[in-house]
Amino acid sequence: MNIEKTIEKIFFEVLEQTDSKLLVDTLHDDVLLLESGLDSLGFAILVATLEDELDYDPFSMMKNAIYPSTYGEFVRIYKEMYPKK
Amino acid sequence: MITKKSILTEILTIPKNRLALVSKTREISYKDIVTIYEKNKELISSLENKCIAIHSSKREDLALLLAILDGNTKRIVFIPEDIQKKYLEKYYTQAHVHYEVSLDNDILKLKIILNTDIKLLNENTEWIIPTSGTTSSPKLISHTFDSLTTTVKKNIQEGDSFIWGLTFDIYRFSGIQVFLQSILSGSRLIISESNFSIDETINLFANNSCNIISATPSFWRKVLMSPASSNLCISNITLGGEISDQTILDALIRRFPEAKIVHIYASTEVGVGFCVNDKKGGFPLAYVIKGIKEVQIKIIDNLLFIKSNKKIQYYLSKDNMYNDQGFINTGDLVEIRNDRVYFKGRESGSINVGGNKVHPEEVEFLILKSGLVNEVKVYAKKNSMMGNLVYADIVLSNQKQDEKVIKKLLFKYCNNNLDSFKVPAMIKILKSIDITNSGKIKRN
Repeated sequence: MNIEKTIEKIFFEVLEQTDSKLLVDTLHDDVLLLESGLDSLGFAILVATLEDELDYDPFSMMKNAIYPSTYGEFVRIYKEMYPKK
Repeated sequence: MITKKSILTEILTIPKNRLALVSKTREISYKDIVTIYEKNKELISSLENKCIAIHSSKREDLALLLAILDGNTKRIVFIPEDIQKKYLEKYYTQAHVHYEVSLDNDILKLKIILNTDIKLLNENTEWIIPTSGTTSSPKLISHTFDSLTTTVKKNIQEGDSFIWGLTFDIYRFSGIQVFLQSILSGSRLIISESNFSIDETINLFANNSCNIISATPSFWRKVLMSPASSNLCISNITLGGEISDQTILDALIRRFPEAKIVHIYASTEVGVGFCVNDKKGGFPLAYVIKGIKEVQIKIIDNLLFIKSNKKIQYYLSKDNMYNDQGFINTGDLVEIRNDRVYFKGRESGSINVGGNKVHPEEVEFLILKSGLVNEVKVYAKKNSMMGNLVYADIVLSNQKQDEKVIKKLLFKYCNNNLDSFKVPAMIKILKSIDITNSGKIKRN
């Protein structure tokens, strides 16, 4: 499974679900999350939907929570915390 | 010799051959109840100063036990079928239960729990009823025949034409109300058991010409979805136990246009508060301003407070049930709109989404209003970002519809009609929503 692609797909789905719009031209690693179009509630929904799809929530697995500020950091956290089988 | 005012003394005034209780396997007349009492008279007389608990999974047995034991013991403690062991032990100690009683082929059986004495001065039997504990741990409440029959209409002549359908458990306040209303008017009570499916229950009611049913809005929603309900000929509909919103009232009016529809505000603590019969959700603000019958109503900080003239009921734990003015805080949140008071949900049942409070019922009623779903349950789901998020389980009104399309429509509808934090973060489509034995949506 390609985590990056899944996140991107769900990101756009949550934008539509929450009646939000992408506020940048394209979604890339340097996009500041809170300027992307999703607000903090939107991010919470994104994390919940990703957990439903990927079966893990990296933020609840962390001992010391890190909150990403860019889209790139967000994706990296998902990649790093991918549960090893 | 039966002397005290009790269910049995009332039964003796009812024409003997009328049917009292009908289950899937049995018909019991009022005369049969007296015969069962006579058969067990000796053992029953030994319980005069005892506290007993009735704990049976069969509603039919519970009904019989109540009828023959009321007035003949100090206390009857009602034990829910699905009680957790930790509560059972607590209840038995708190209520000082001497015996657990049951019926085996109409013969009374006793199981010793405690053999120490307790001095209770009450003349009439105390009925100890647990609260449903929907949002907190259940509490035991002491009622008496008087506090439970305040609003019961006793008209034995008219009662002959009523055939009640029992959808509630008899150990709950709602079930006791239906049982007492039926039996004290000499009516017939059709007993469905808690393990029956909706169709089984409806068929039992229809086959026995049941014409009056009291149930929760969640139960009525399931009735309306069941094809078997077309066999029901209902003249009286009562809703209680949950909030009756306009959508369910309108749906019942459409399906049963001739029926009298009443929704009741009652709780184990308050007893029966008031009835609303204008087929509208909520209740008139006039009830707050002028009171309604013997009941006074206040709204303090959006919470409903109720006071009745009789203050008979109390918590067995001796916790205080009343405020300084004698009002009971119901824990139900309300709001006033256009001279009408509407229920918003339980104060203790709200979902905290990033510091914002969401009442599941508010979201549920809005989703039901969309017409796209037949059943819905809104609940909290833990979330690492927001603390909690609002989730919704739904049952589609048309099972053949495209799930993706419906979800999209529902999100759009919620976005247009709710604050963003109240909009479900996730909508899951199920075949049915579980309800408790009391007919309420199962909430953890």
